[in-house]
Amino acid sequence: MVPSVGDETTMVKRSPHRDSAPAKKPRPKRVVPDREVVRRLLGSGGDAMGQCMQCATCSAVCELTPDDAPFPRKEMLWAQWGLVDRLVSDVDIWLCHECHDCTVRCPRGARPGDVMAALRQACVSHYSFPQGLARAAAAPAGLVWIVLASAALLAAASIGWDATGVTVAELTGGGTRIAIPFWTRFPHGLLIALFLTVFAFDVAVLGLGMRRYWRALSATALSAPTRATPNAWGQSLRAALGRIVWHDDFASCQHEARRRFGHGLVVYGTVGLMVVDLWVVTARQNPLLSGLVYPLGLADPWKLLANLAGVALVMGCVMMGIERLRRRERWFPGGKWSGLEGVRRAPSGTYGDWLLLGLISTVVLTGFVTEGLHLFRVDELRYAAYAAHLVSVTTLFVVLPYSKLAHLAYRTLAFLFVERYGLRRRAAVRAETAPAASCAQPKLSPQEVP
Amino acid sequence: MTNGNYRRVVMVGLVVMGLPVLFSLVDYARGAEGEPFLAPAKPDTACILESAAMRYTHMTFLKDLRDRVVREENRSAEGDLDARGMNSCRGCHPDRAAFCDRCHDRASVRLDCFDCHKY
Ligand code: SF4
Ligand code: SF4
Repeated sequence: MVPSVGDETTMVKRSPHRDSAPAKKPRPKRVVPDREVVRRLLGSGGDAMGQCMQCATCSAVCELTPDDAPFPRKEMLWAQWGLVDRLVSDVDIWLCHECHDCTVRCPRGARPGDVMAALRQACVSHYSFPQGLARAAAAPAGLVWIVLASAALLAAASIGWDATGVTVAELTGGGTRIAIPFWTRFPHGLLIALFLTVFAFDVAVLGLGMRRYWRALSATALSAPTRATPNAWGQSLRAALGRIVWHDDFASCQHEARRRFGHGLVVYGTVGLMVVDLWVVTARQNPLLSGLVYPLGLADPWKLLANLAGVALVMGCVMMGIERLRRRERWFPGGKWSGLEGVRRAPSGTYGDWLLLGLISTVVLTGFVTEGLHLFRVDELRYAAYAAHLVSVTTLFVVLPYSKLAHLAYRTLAFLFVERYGLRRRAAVRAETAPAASCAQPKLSPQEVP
Repeated sequence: MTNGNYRRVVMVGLVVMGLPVLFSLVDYARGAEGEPFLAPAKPDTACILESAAMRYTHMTFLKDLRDRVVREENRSAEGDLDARGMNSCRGCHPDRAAFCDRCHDRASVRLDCFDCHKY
């Protein structure tokens, strides 16, 4: 490969004392595997990772991996060994978009795509607090408790709010601004107070986790700028956000190409619903509004947007679910890989994948059911459906910083990091991955082909 | 879907999200009336409850009265019918279309009282 500007060789010439000099072979280090981490990875999607034979097919087929120390082969090794320090300071796990191009091609059925998902979950759990809640959010057994706690939280808030007399004050106050709550047990003031509190908690947990993760990332990066002119902060942020807004990274996926559209529907559906929610619950404070501002009629532009966004979300969830379920059929097509019949075919996707999809679908479907029961005036049931809706929303907010949903913070951070610093690693990581790098031919662009 | 098309779809989505805000701003600028969209009650009359409370409870109130009279055969409640039943609404709000219907239409809450009852 033609050495590019800032390649290691040129860099060494510039500063021979740099600790990343490749001429010196790194001294062998004693590795200390973390069995607890291995056990957890095995249980959260990495159950087949022991099958990996380090052939690096996965790194070779991945469209998103960089030429320099590509993923996910090295992560497979680190995961098998439970090298937790390396895993939680690895920016690559967040560059992977779970397209499973690697999974369907892995000759050993080690499901590297799922292992990457498990590693991301481990990263999120590692950096968040309190650890008890993080562990509960990462395993099916904990979900029951989180749902029950969410229900209890809502009930307590409703009773407390009523007892302080705020409910009555809100229902009878407001002057010419009529904002009838869907259920008087949950007036808008209560919903604002409750969800702002939970949201502040999410921001705190995510913020602290991101800070710790950023520090770990910074420690692995070369301090020298990797580009002739390094991206400035503003430029990096814009580039990172652009990748998110346009879903650029999804575009290179080969096998689950429809995920780009499905994920977009989910993201923009969620944004649309958030906007409507903010509009509705702040109706009493909104200076633009007077008269009957809520409930919204079916022809109200806000109601139309809410319904449209809800439909988009359902469609997106269904599309992503179907892509995920169909993945299994793509493995070992036509029994071509004889001798592997005994390999257990694990379910497509990890617990974290299905938890997120399930929670979002529950939120939207209970919302639509509530709306339908309200329109057809099925009074008792509509309150039950609304209660289920509120509990699922609270659950979603509670698990946000501990679940796959935390990717909206961590992945953004990883994008920002690579846009700002590029993907240069310390020599230690490069030296370690060198054999595989020569095995997995880095993808050459046409002008690079010798 | 090509990259360019994808971006176009996203942009359309973002524009659609901005539309309600735009409509609301236009409404506000036009000074569109949210209130009084309900015809005011006859002068010198008083509602049986505060109007804010009536907004939430009028249906419960009517149902409660119906249950007492029809289902529990509590004849002593009959006296309330004229004073507090649907008849009493009409006493102060003679125009149903400008009162009940207008609000129910606006809020998309089905109004089926008058499928059977005369206002
Ligand atoms: S393709 Fe990747 S995960 Fe599969 S055996 Fe080869 S190195 Fe391991
Ligand atoms: S799931 Fe896709 S993006 Fe992630 S490592 Fe595999 S091929 Fe690369």
